[in-house]
Amino acid sequence: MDSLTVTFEGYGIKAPAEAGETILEVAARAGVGIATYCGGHGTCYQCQVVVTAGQVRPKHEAHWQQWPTPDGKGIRVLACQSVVTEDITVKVPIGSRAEEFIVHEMEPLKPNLVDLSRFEPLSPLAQQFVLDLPKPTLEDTVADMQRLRRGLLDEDAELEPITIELPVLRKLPQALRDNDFEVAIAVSDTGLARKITAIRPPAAADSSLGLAIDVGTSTVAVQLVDLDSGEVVGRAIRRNGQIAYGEDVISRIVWTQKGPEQLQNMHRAIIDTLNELFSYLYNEHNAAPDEVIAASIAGNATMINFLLGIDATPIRRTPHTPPATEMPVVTAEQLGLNIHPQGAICVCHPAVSGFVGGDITAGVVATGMHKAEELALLVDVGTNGEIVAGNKDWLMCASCSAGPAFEGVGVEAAMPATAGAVINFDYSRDRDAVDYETIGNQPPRGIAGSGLVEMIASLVEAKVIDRTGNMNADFPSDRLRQSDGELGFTLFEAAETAIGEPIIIYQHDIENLLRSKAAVLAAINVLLGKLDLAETDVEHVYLAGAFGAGLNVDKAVAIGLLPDIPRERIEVVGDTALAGAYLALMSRQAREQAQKTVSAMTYLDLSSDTDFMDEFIASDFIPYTDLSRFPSVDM
Amino acid sequence: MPLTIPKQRWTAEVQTATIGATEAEGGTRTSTVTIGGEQTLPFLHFDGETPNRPVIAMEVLDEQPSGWPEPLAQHYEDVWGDPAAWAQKAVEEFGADLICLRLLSANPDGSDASADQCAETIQSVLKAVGVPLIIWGCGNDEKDNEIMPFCSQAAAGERCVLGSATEDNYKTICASALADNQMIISESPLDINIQKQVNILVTDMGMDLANIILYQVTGGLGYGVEYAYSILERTRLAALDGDRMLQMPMLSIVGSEAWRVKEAWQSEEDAPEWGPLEKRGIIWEAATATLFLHAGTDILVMWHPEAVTRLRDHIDEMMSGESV
Repeated sequence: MDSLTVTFEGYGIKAPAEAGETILEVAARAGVGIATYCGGHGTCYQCQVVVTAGQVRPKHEAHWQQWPTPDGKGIRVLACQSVVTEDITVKVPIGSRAEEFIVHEMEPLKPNLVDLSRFEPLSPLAQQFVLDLPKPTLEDTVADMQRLRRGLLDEDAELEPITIELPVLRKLPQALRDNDFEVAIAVSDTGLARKITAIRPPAAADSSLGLAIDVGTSTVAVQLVDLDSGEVVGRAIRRNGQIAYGEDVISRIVWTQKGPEQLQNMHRAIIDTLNELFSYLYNEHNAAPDEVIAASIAGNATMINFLLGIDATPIRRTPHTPPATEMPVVTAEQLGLNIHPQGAICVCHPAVSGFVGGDITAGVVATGMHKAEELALLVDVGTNGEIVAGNKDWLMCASCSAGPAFEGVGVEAAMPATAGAVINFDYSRDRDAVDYETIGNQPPRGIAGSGLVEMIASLVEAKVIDRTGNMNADFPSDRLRQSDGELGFTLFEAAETAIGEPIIIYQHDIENLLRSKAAVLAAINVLLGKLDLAETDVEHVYLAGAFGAGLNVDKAVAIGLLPDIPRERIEVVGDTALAGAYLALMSRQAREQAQKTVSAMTYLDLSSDTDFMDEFIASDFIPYTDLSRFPSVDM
Repeated sequence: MPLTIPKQRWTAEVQTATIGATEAEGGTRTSTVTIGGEQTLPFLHFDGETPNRPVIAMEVLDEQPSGWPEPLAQHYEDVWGDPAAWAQKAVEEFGADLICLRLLSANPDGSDASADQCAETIQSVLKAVGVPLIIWGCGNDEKDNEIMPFCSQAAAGERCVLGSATEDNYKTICASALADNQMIISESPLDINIQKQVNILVTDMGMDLANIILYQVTGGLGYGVEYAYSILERTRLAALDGDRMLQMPMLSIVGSEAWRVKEAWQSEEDAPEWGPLEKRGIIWEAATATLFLHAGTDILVMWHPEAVTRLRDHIDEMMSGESV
């Protein structure tokens, strides 16, 4: 039998294949990493690929699914369910590439955001107490449970009221006697009461750890924290595995409506993503799951509902009521998270609405804007963009669908801010050359959020693109090429990159990025407009989200991502949601402030606001259609 | 006690533009057209000056149109296929203030006329009439970019208006207009922001704001003209409020849009309840034109001679200020 060929577009790989093999099997052998969770059973939908030439046959006729592609070229299928019967060409979309789902080490957060001194005395979400209890005697016949309680309250009277989890109570008599009544006890704070969640020999529990987690629509970030000292032991980020089911919250909700097992799959995808991040941190830092007794989580309302396995459909339907804005404290066992089974999992940050989630409440607490005199603006550019304006007296918020472009999803040249990502970018027209800086000073693999902002600014300045983002077809450089019927500008030639192929920005990428920035700027303008405030009234801007601390704020204003505000007032703060989750992990005060923040915050619904669409069109321009509102920007 | 009529005071006025160049100005036109300069909303003479009356451009196609209903066709059958004669008839018989020449023959899906052929057509029309010209391509961006430099060159010095610059296609037309001292139409899909954006893009190319005419793509009566009206009105309000990027005179395409509407062309057999066909289209076009006129349009591009007469009478009436 003749051998067939599967060409993997963009990899430069022509892989031999036997008739009857699936695309996934051929790819695995050829070293083309296609993401899969279910191991090729057609259930996780991670391995979607586009067959651009030739035909494939269904592995199981009854379960066959195929989808059209946005550009109409080829069909989208599951690699594990598509059998090769002839020579085909396959394109692996960025969301299906295994390397995209690798866990990466993460940069530390900005120190002022995670300054625990603001929240002293510390009271972590879970605490460990080592107790040397008096042994029962004929004179002291107090029961084991009450003996433990007495011992704990002697340590800290404020632990009252305190209860115990049944699985711990079952172990208690044996554990006390095995250890001669000297035990380590984990106590978690559920908000209303304390719960005894673990009992161990003191020797086995020399450290107590916790996790601070930001579940983003595109990216999930985790910090492993020493609960005694607050010291951050390790940090890791990874793409959210749910990307396979849709790039934004709406498309994911739509996916879960296909059937009850799809909600289960959506839930599993985030649990798997988190467990993979945990395993990475345990390995890197020599920790065991049992040592982790608490996790504090921030995320938007949809992400949190999926995490808890709750149907988020009402968020999508008018009037967009979320199933819950405040979540109960649950145990790791209930969710299947790989920490101590009775470890407290707490969504410490209540949501304001279906579209302004606990990630924003967390961000407000982290920045401290809710305690300050000055008028501040928190702008969190994620897949969902959220804006908060206010100070210690009032807070108002709005959200917009910014899309995941600045997080590197849907823009082929883009990537998260990890090793090899371009964070600073400047193209010189005179020299036809790019000056750049990458994370870790490695050859470029892709462009991170901050690099994308600087890239747009520099391409406009060099007149490679005009103010609407259209590429100038007459631009005098070989970097400008037509491919697949579309103009693309080569940022880095194949020889310069770490991936062996050129890094190109296409016309539709620029359009995606501009729509993202337009949504953010429009939301800011509408929110400030409702408050009758001018951009110059804003005394401090916290720019949060996918941008690294190295982002040149001048360029962020130059492209009109932010209004024209004096640059010294703009602070790039990174992942404020993760910072807030960390603070909540360490401090009851921070958890309580988050609660108060929610009740103080007024939500402005832009989806029903007639000004928003007008502002959006005005903002879909560099920097903005009314140039008089950007007096300091000169291009 | 004497009654004082309150006056609405605006901070700015619409730009004045003169289309066409006489021999003394380097062209060959025997007349020019000056529009704009309004200091108030349309015809509110008690609030401010309206120094120039709105004008009517009649459209001339460079090839025989297909599917025109009888009431319209009967006026042009004798000049179809001869744009020079058509233009002459529009000016001499129907009193057109300007000619709006559409080079439909250039369409690659149709006759695919060459740039040279288009340039010849323009020269023949320029020779046939003394009024200024608006020159429009065939609507295919790629082909229009090919012919427009030649068309502009063929009318160099005549201070024509070239149509049209859009958000996605403005460079060639700008370059041509700049080279040959023509004006351009800045087109937008019924969106004020995009209209401004196009104006910024063309001024980035070096175009002078004084050489721009605004055009929002509207439909005819029955196709959401209420929205079109409000967009045109908002544009004019912005101009009077001092928005430099929206201060140019406005143009509306009336004829082709009005006659596209079913009520204008459906036969009496198919729609007896709509009344006589020979009146319907005329009324439809005149009504559409009147609506845009009152929204602030300065140039109305029209088809039917009787609709033109009706609109001209209406403009006379409104400019006299008597009905107020």
